[in-house]
Amino acid sequence: MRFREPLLGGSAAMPGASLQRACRLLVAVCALHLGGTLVYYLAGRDLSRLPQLVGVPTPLQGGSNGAAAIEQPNGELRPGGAPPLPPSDASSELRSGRGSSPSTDSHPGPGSASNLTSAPVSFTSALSLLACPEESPLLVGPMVIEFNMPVDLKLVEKQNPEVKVGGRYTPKNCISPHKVAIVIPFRNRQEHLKYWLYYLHPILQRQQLDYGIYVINQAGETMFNRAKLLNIGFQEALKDYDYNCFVFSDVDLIPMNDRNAYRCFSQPRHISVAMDKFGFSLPYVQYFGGVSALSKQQFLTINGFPNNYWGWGGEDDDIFNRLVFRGMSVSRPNAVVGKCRMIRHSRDKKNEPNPQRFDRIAHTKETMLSDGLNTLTYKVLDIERNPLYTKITVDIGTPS
Amino acid sequence: MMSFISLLLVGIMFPAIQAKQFTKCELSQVLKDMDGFGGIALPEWICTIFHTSGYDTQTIVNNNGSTEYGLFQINNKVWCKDNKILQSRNICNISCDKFLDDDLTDDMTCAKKILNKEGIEYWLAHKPLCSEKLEQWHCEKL
Repeated sequence: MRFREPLLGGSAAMPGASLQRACRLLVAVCALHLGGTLVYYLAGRDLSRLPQLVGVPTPLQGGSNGAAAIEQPNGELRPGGAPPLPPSDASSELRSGRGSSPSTDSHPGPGSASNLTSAPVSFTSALSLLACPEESPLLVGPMVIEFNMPVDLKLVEKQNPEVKVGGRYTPKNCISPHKVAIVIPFRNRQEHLKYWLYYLHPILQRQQLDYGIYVINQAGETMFNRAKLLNIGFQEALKDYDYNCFVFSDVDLIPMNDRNAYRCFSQPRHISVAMDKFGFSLPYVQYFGGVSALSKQQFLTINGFPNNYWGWGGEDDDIFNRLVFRGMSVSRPNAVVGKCRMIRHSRDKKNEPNPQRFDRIAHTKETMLSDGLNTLTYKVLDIERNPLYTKITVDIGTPS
Repeated sequence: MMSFISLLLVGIMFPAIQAKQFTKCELSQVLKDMDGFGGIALPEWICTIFHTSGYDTQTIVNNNGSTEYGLFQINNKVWCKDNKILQSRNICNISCDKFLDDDLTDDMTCAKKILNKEGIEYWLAHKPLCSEKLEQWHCEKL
């Protein structure tokens, strides 16, 4: 018979041994856990898993749709970390050229079948297309939006191969009822525009919209007039295509959730309802600034936007007043879907707060009859059909 | 070690004297005593201040030869003194840049004087934007 010598001497009972074993086990488990997390961390913060953690289904792997915009398996964006974008190439990102392109046709003809990579689409193009579903199956929900990496538009162009010159896109698999012109008022904000295009093109394609991007660039150095530029965008876009919907977006606002539809509704739509700048909530219930959408009919009903707001502020309140005076109300997404990021920037020169704005918005009811689409005058100086957007430079005159 | 501690203390002090971007509820708390002053309810003040300066104490705006400072956008022609207009009436007897910090006691004192002398109409935002739908400017937490 052999005795097993006790491992430790001293008094007979050894509660410490099992405790010691338990401690060792705990330490081992902790070390394993730490090691595991370290491995995941070093593998590069995998932000693409975020939507899955939030419980949002990942989109279909639609190869021929805009979902292939960024090289992520689930269509998610991946800024920072290991960015897919090389350093910005400012000199050659624009392919400027004069003249207008022919009105782009939207449906795949036999010639374009050779560009399509997936068999099902070339098959369906032979059949007549059905209307796109009410809600796109390609949406991912919440996205990570950051502005800390440089954007190369040449790469964005490659990432969005379905987008045609002038920033035009039409869904291949279905017919969209939403023919949307997205109008962006602009002056000297190229860096912001790059981010806008980088984030929005994939989103707009996932939303299965038949859209075009119009950047309306104010020439000259006089006070900025946002609303007049939007009026011009409305008018100029209609020369290209019979858009039935107009989204008016500031160049520095990016939606954080692609369920926030960039298209029109039965009432005028306010899209940027929960901006980070305002603590992700609506600053006031009458707020209609940032990003909004009006159907062609809604826009015409209010005689478009005012032309006499020079400088910052007031024009969005005037537009809100116009809608109310014509018996309309504002439709909005909820504050979760409506989250937006604004690219922070200092106040622009020549866009100081307009001291007349409060007086003007007190008189919208009268002025809307004589200040709007019916009194719009301007001069087109240049039209650039860039791969990702159409840029129209205009002389809009000076305050009268 | 001592230099580190003093440096740390200085570093902590810095935020205390910075300018500030208030939230609706923070501002409602600070301006509580102005509720009802001159017949203007607190939500009206909050609304007016939002449309006047966006709750940002650092707001400076130049308008037709005068400059307006701070949350209440008090001007240097009549109410405070700066180095741009030397013959300001300076009724509030204060340097305008005192309206750019996050201590609102002097702003409130001067705003009350303005209200007594010129009424709420001094703030052009009030009539078109703060005459109705005032419930949204309440802070529920108060």
